[in-house]
Amino acid sequence: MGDRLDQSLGRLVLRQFKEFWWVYLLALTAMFFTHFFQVELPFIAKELGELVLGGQMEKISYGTYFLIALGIIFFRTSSRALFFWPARVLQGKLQEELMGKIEQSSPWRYRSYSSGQIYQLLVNDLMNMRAFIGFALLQVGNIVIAVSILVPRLADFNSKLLLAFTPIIVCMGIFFLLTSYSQKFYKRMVDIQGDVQNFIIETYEGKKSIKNFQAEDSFIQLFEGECRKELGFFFKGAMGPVFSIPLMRLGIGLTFLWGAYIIYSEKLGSTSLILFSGFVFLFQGPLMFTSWIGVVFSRTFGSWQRIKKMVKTLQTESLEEKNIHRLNEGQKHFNMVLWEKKSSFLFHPQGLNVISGETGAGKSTLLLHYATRLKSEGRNISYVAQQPYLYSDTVSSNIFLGREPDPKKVKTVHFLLDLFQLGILGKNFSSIMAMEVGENGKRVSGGQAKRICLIRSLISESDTVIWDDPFSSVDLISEKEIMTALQKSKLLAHKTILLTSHRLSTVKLSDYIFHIAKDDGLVESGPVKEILKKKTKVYEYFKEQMV
Amino acid sequence: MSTLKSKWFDIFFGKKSIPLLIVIFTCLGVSAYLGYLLPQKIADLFESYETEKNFLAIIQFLLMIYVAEYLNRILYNVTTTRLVQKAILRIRLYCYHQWLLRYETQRSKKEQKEFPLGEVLSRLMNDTEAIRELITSGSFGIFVDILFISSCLYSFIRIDRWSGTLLTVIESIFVVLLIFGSRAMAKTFLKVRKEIGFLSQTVADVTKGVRENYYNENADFAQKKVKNRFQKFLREQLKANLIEASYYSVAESLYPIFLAMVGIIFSYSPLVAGGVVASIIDLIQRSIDPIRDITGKMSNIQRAGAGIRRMNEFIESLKREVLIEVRARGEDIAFHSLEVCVHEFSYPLRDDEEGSFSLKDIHFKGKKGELLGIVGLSGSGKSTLLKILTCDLFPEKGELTLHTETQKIRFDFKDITALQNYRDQISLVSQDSHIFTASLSFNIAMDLERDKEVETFWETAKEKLPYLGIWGICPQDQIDPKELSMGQKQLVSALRACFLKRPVVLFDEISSGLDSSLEMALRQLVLLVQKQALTIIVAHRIETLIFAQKILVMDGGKLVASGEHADLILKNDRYREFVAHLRHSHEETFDLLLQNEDQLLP
Repeated sequence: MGDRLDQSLGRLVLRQFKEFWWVYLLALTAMFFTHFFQVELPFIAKELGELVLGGQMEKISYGTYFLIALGIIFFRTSSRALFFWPARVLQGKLQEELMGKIEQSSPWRYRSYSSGQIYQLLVNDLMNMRAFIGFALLQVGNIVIAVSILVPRLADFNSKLLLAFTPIIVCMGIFFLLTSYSQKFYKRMVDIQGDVQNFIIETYEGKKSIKNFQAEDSFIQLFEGECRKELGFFFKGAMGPVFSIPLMRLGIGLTFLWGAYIIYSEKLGSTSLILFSGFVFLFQGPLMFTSWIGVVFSRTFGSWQRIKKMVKTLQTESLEEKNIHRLNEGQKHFNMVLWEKKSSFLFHPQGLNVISGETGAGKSTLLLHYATRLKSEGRNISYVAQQPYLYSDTVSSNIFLGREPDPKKVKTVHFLLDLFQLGILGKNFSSIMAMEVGENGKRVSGGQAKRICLIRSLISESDTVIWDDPFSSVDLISEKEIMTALQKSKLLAHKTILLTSHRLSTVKLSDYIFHIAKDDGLVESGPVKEILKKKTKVYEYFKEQMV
Repeated sequence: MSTLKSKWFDIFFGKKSIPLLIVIFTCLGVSAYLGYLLPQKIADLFESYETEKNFLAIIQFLLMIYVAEYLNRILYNVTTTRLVQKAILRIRLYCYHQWLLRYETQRSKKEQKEFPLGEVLSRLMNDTEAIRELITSGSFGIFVDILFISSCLYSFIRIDRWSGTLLTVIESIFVVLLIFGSRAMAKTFLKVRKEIGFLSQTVADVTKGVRENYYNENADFAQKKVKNRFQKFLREQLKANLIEASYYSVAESLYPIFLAMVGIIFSYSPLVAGGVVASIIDLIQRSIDPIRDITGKMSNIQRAGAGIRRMNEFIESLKREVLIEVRARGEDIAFHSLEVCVHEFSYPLRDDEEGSFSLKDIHFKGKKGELLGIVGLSGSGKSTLLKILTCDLFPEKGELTLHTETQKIRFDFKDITALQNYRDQISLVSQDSHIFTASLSFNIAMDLERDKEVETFWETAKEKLPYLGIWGICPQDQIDPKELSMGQKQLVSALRACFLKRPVVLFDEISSGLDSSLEMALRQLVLLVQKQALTIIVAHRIETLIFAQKILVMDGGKLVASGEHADLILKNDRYREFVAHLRHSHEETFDLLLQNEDQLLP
């Protein structure tokens, strides 16, 4: 059937009905019976009034009252639960689909989205979709069935009384307009709330600096400014509900009075007053909820647009991808525009290629571009970022990333943990593997996190490994030990290795060097041994660093 | 107790809110009065229909009641919203203020906890949000509703004592039952909220890692993880949905149940007037909504109440700490020299440790214009010493004395006024120096109103530090700290120290490698700072040491030697060891030096 996220909102709803048709059928049936029972209430009240006034208490059938109560409880509960269930299931499916799409897409495509924005889409916007499919559809169904049962019964009694419902309907319209209008202030408030939150985070992180420079006063001022702005929008946004919520009660009162007047002028009998007020009561519930639909609708459309935009972004090839593709199609070399100059790299497939250059020369970007090229060619690669992210999970899950750990690999992991000096993380191997690393690996140090990712990379089936500054956290002696051991272990055999570094020691351990510089792109390349011997630019670079 | 209460009032409302509170109580009073009028008029309406007298006049009167009730509610809502808006601003500012000024110090042998960020955020944002939700969910309205219905009931009792009292009793019983039922629901809802928390955490976690793992074999790790978490959430959520749906259904079924009760009541009542029946049924209909809502709104109010309590605790615990006051910085002093004397400082013992690290007998002096280097291997106590100099750690015995030509500012780690006076004179440039997401100008001056001064300062600094020109950044530019390298961050915070002209500048030098141009810029900046201040620098570069007037060598928490580089390198073993260590970490330098000695040496 294809992905739900590729469809329009209308089709999505239709598909939902098709898929859960029996649930919705049951829900609508339950709803029908709820109103079927409820519509009797005004007549019962009227009858009760007449019997009491006539002094015929013995004729009151209490059983019917309780039966109706039971019916309402049973059918009302069923209809609500049956409407909410498929909506929640849909929310889960949409979330899963969107997450999958993000995971499968090249990060270049959703570059402009911050993690916070993606989170917003995956959690809050999908929550709004749930509210639409669950709450809004329930209320629409409810009002349709309620009206179709209540109106004919009231019209049967006296059709002129229907006219008296005008005030309720007018009030409902005003309610709808007011609440929808105040939504925009609400949105602004949420945005600014994010700013205030960020401001507190900044204060927290910079508290020592604030203290060291005695800048408390300016920060209090700034904080007050942000809060005032946020709360200003809160007040404006609250004015919608402030004026509209009591409006419904006014509408009900006016309808009742109008009805009373009609009953008076049509001479329908005093107990008709009781009957009519019962009808007003029954209409009140569905109408009250329906008036909230405006809010739900406007939020849903906003959310759905944002989701669709994201989906489209994920499906559109980004400019970077296009360029990488254009430059490299059918090429043996890897080509890239670095500092407005076309640079061409020939990485050696059976060796250690190192990229050197100053901070900001474009080393990391180069790696990502190369990784993107290989990915688009369907190659199996592995990549370790400069500051890699560890998922909040066990060491083992972070190494195997969703695959079943096979025993052979577990053995290799054991060897590598020792080699990378990660044995200190726990008492024994299994306790280390079961250790929870926390969000972004906060329970291990940055260097340890990186080494865990290096292990992941080493046991992968990839033919190319790409490491961004892999040894920044280990000292020079360990670096040498690790590299020697890795070369001995044959884990890197038949693999292309590409890494960056600004340490001479790493360069010395590599086979080929590619030196890049700001404004100049690729400056020099060749076998490390030859390059370091002569008075080359690489040599100049490392010399300059030392003085 | 009464003082605590009045303080509580002060924190949330303050004197300016009193008029608002008066309006709110007046509205409540008006609502009660309108509620009192209503049952009689409904009864009258019914009776006058029978007798055909005054029917239209009563409708008019009822119309007035409804309109008045509407206006009264709007006034009530607007005023409560305004009150909440003011209270939130007030409480937030108060908390932020107290928290910012809380002086985190660690005294010898006494552990002190800092509030984690999550704690601060949930106090300042989430708890105030709970109060705000009272407005958006219309929970404050429940007070008006309750008053209105109560006075309706009261007035009805006056019309018909027997049935009025019985109805009141029955309604109260149902309210109690529903509240009881909602208590049982609370557990399920708590579970759902927990699951939502887990789900959010999982989503937040995987979205942060998903980018880089696109380039790894990831076996749909993120998708699977989110899916699994959602399934757990779904189970709890559906349970809660079912319970909530049945709760509301029970509340809706109250209408026929109450009607039956009315029947029963009147079976035992002598002579009933028609108006009474109409009035009681109207009253039942009117009261079902508030009865149904009472539990939901009450739980909102409870949540807000819990938020207020937590904030109160937060404030109380902040108050127990030493606080500094916000005040204008004292006047610049004609600084001459600083004398440091630390007799003893030891870190609090942890359970698994034998003896803790301590600092002992450190005494030295430095003058304006001097560069003082502190060196030592890691664990020698140099960063502890730095923290004492910035007053982040308080030793049990020791004092810091600032000398001017004529007077002394002495801080013995006890007197808080002296602490402030001392603190005014120092600044710290370290790896932890925070760069804020704000303009460069703000980052330098840390003040909103000094942009012009920064502008002039920047121009002069640019002449002395060519790097700034190359960097191509202007004071008005917004800074994204994530884009700055470690070295650039240190440069900005050093510029800050230079601009603010504090007489004592403490420097914690970056230990990792820097680009040569940045390295040069930092060195030039230290020279600039040195001209106007005493510079104390925890050194990681040999070049820095060569320029220092005095070097303090630390080892095992003690000051083992002091003197000039040329002197120390000949006489002191510890110092030689340290220099050798610096060399080791710059091994590549020496590697090349050995290879091409003749070319590199000047």
